[in-house]
Amino acid sequence: MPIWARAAVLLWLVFVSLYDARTHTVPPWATWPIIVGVALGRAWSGAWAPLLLLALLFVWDTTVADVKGLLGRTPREGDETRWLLPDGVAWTAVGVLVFLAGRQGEGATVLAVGWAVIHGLWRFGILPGGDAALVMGIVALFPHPRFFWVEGVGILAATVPLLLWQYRRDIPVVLATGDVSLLKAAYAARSRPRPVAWAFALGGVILALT
Amino acid sequence: MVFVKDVQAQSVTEHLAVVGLILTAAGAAVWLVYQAVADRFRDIANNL
Repeated sequence: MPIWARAAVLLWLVFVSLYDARTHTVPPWATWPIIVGVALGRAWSGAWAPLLLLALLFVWDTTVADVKGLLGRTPREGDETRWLLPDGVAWTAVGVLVFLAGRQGEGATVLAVGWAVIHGLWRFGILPGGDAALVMGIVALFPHPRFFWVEGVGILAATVPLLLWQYRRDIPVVLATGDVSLLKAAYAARSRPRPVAWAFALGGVILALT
Repeated sequence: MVFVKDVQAQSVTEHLAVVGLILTAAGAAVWLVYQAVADRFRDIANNL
């Protein structure tokens, strides 16, 4: 990646982190053009599986209420929870598309695995949507196997010190008494949602600088 | 669409650490696959 592009990525990551710190959101316009653009570019060069996977994820997360909204019709009660695709069908299709991406080169494989894992983390409620889109954008820009461990280690480097600080009074007590259930009570008392895009951006910064 | 509309970007630090662990484990798995069985896997896929 040329230096000017790396500089642009760094500016983008700083902007998204600052925007998140102020608003607690990552706007779709800051991430989705990159994700869709990379998927279209890959498809243009012959690796169509990541684009198809993206389309599948889009349909999977669409409800009957969404479709009626697009058609200008009024949704009925319950339409917000009626999905177009059953989960079993969607998970199977994701597996097939990841397998097919494996035949379309390293970049397509990393994109498909990365997007499938990140989207899965969102579906299981571990990752908020704005942050998930940010990480999908980062893997789109750096579709190399090292993305996973660089991003993972970057997040751990940001969070482990924070957790040690957050539970600095509880950890010695748990170690002294051996009562792990105390951590559960400490979690309920101290855990608070915080803007975290900067922690995800950290991995992107490392990838852009190395 | 729900995914695209979900712009929330705040999470508890504990969840973030879980994400870090999962991505690191995925990185290790990808590395192992590439080191150990990539050629074999590619042969099987190409012969399907």
